[in-house]
Amino acid sequence: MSAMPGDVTELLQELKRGNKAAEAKLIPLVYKELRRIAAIYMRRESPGHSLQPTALVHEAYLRLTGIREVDWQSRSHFFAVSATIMRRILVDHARANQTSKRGDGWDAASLNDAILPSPQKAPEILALDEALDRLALLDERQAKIVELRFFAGMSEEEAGSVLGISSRTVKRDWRVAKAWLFKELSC
Amino acid sequence: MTPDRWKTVNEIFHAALELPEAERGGYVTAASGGDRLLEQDVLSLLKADSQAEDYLEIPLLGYEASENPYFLTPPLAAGDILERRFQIVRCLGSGGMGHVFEAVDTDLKMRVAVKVIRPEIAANPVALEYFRREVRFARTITHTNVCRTYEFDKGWASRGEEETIGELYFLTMECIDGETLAARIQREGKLTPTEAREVAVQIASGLNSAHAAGVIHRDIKPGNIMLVEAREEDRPPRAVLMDFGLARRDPIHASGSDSGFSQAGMAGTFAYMAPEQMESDNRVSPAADIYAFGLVLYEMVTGRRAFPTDSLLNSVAQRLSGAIPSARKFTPDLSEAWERAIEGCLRPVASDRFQSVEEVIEVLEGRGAAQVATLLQKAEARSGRHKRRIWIAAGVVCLCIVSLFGAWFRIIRQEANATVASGSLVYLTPVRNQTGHKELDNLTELFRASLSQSVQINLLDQGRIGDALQWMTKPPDTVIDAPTAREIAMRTGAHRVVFASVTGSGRMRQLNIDIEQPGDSPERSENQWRNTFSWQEASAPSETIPPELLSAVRNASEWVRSKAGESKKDIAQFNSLPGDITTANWHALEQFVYATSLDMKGDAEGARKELSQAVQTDPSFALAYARMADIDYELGHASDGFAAYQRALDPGLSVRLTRRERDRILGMFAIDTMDFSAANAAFRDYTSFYGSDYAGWAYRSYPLMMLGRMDEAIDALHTAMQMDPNRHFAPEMLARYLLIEGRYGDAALLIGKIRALGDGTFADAIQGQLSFLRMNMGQAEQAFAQITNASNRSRQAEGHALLARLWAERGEYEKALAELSINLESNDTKSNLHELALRRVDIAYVDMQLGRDSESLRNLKEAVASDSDLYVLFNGIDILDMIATRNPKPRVRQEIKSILTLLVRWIHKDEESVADTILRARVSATKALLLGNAVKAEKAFREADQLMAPAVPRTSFAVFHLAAARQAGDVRQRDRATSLALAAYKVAADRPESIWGRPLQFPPGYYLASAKAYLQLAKKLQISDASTKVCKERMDKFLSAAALKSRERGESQFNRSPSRGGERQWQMIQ
Repeated sequence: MSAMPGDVTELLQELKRGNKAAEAKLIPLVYKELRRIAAIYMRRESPGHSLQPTALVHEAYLRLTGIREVDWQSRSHFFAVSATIMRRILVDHARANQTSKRGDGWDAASLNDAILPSPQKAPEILALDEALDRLALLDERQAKIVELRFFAGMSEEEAGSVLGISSRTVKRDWRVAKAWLFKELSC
Repeated sequence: MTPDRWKTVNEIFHAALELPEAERGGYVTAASGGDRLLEQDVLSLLKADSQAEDYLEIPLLGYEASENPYFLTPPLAAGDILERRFQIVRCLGSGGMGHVFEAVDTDLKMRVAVKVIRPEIAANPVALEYFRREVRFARTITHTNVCRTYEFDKGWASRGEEETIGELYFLTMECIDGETLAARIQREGKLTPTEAREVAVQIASGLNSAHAAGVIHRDIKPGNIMLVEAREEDRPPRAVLMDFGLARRDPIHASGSDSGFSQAGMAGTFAYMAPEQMESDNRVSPAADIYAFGLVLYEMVTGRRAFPTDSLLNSVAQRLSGAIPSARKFTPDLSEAWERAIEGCLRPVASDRFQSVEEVIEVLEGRGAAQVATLLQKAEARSGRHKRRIWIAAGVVCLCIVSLFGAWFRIIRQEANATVASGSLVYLTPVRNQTGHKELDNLTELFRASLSQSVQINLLDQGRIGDALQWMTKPPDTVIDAPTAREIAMRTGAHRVVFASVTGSGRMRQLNIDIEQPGDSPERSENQWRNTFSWQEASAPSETIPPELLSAVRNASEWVRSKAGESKKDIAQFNSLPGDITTANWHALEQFVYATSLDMKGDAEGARKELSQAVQTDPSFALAYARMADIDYELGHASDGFAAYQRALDPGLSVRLTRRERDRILGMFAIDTMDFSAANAAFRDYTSFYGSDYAGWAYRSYPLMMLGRMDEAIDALHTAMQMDPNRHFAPEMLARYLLIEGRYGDAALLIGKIRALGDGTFADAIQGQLSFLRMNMGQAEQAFAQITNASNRSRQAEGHALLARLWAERGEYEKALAELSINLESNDTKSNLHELALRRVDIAYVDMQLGRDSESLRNLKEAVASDSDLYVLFNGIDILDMIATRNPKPRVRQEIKSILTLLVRWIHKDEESVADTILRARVSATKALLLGNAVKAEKAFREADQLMAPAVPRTSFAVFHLAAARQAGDVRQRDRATSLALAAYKVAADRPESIWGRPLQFPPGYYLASAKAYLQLAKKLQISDASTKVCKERMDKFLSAAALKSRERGESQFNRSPSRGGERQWQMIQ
């Protein structure tokens, strides 16, 4: 039931080779792990540390692949995938809050409610998600950056690493993406 | 909008941002080349950009996880005041723990950094414990190159006059003015090898001290190193290691851990993490710091990060493969030494690296271990502020504590290993006047006052000098010559002896100072330092002490203080002219000095008389008032003491007190008037500057205990004992608190230590109390009886008082009364009037228990008429309340009223203290009770209750509840009130140790009365549970055989009190 280190690594290799289907297989494995770790985080009394999504993802990665993995490309894929997962989880959760119906497939409610955004934020999150999809049509990379930064909480540098671009480029993209989203969502 | 168009928009957008704001509009218009829609798109985007700075900046999970908008908004703003003392200037930033603010300490006019802990962390007792420990550890590191931590406490924040923001936990630290190493590198690129070396050595020095204390930083990075420019041109900047926020001791692993505190999650920034730290947080050792240190070295000499991104992705792999880019790649002329130093820090396997910072520096400098050690010490000194700890023989501290603490070995040992905070004991011998001018005899006091301001020096007090002379079998008024002084120093552990003489001829005077470091014989000294300070006498002698003399004394004291290692900054902070902190009048000074000598001889009355003369001579002689107050309280003249403290604290006068003295008085005064928050604040201030003075810590424990913060109180006492293991004050208080906490075993361990420190009678008292609680009555009696044989009169009286309490708790009231009467007979001298009053109250209480109301009131009246001690007043009013509810006859009522009038006379009309307000409310309550107005009475009592300290038992409340029950409208109301009364008694009944931890604070038989009442009410309410069972069993064991028998026979005191029909049930309870 729990992923064996080999599974994830292999799937990541697949992804690297361009096999998009691997992503679909990866997601549930990673999701399980993320959920488990999030629960641990919340149980631990960790003074001075709010839940840091990157830490969460990092830990998930370590557990799923073992730290000896040298291939950075796999890792960045992993992170990119994780960011997408997080976004979906959060959006579905918001949707569930909005309609008081369970979202399909994700069982988002089983994630510790304490770490998920409050229902008040739901409309905002859904609107953002939708706007982000539209941004992706204009510039896929910029939308990805927003996903990495806002949903997965990565720094500009980390995002740059994942996408293979300089943090300066990330900065620029981030700035204009934010401005556009702000504009779109405030009308 | 299409992707291509979007690209164009992007280009114009970014280009426009490169321009100054004014030019953007024009540029966009031009760049759009007539396309109005395009122009509009870009302009609206730019507008949005200007508003969207904070938009989406906080990641979604990051914000929500903390579940508190606090995370976003700082709790304090500029202008807010914390604890009526720290004025917030601005927010410096925020970290995981909370926000950090720059603030001004309005008392001291200096800047500090205040870190406010997030409430959700503060609400978590485990996290709070973590913090307290963190501060304890951080405090042990007093090193120039480590950001200094002052204090951690809880306090109230307010905004403007009216608005109270709330109570916060906060940490005060040194405010460092400079820029981070990270910013410096970003600004100017790499450092020169000389500059880098300087920073390296300084940080190594600081880190070394931390590692020596067993603390691992865990987050060393250029962003955590501050560079402070030196004031002098040619001096290097001071490098300071910041944010030990994530640091903690070598983990005490789960098995046998005393706290069960779970380790924090991933700590530290990834970029500077050692590989083992990235894997798992649990096995981090100082080697992780070495690794980070290596990365810092690398960055300093190359201007780049060893691992370029903050990303986890590349870093871990590279770290593990050992593929570290050579520094030489970026700095070709880098020396071999640097290469090797860096390389040795960055080895992937922790055990392969340098094991200590010293090794790193050894390689860097190409020197041997001994030289490096000196180098690191000098580094500390060079950057301007030194806290040299070489005067404290840490080994001695260890030995003392370890050998006497037995089972506490594990806990205490870790603390003893901590480097003791700065502080040195100095013995100031009397100044020898060789001029023939009589008034200069009193120079010592001026010198002493000057030195007492030092945060580094603790002056050896007269008490200890007296003790030392006793050991040396010399009379107390021995002339102190050099060998005697040295021997005293050796015996008391003083690190330095200061000899001084004043010489002169004509109009020139010299103050010659000789500092000696005692060796191992009274005949010689290990080291000596000499200096002379001169001044010219004014032509005409006058009443006023000449300013030139005062300056000379100050200069002399500055020199001594700097020799003691005190930093210039600290000296400057507390450096008033001696005349300003004592008196500038010769005559007043003489009177003061004479008073002190009388006090030493034990003539407290005489000393006080002399002091009152001194303040007549100089009405603003604040210190004299303070001493007067101390003596007044000692003699039991609370009212006079109150007045004298008030005078000393008068705003006009209190400037004439040293900070240390002022805090002490504020604190003592606050304790005496039951304002424990103020007392805590005053002593906290004391300890933050005079952290090595054990007195501040010891005193502070009492208000903490009264505020219900027992853990902190015990903590403070441990610190006090660390500061000065030779005093018995702190262990004695600690023994008491441990008893109160029910930690009998731990308390027992202290008994031996207290005895060894010379206070046998106190040890006996604790022994007796312990025996009583363990129901070993024979032993208890024996221990208390021992005390009645003490050489000291007041101790003898205490022995009798304790015995009386023993009998009363055992139900042997007549015996108790007999014991108390012994006191009465012998206390006929004026100086014992105070004790007389106390014992009268005791007798009144017992009589009241026996139903002898008139007799009770007679004794009470005499006590209240003559003494304003709070023990008398508060217990007195309790007795009045109880009698008032017995439906007393008119004559008795009259007596109660007249005693209340006497009591009211003691309440201060203007300048009402907390104690006064409480008393006032209590008097109202009693009056209402007398009138039979239970509702009003209860209301008045509640007012008092709100001001009473958490640790004061609320059994007095029960009387009011019962009165209300009697007047209740229906059964439900009555039962409810009765339950409240039950609850009030239960608190005391469940825990005899809360009373027997400090039995002399309570009247005789207090526990038994509470327990009896509890059981009776429980029976009435038909409650029978574990608690009542235990209480009953306990009572049966406490009561003596005789008392048990008479209870069985129904001859108990219950039936002696007059009964009136339906009132009978209620009277039984009293």
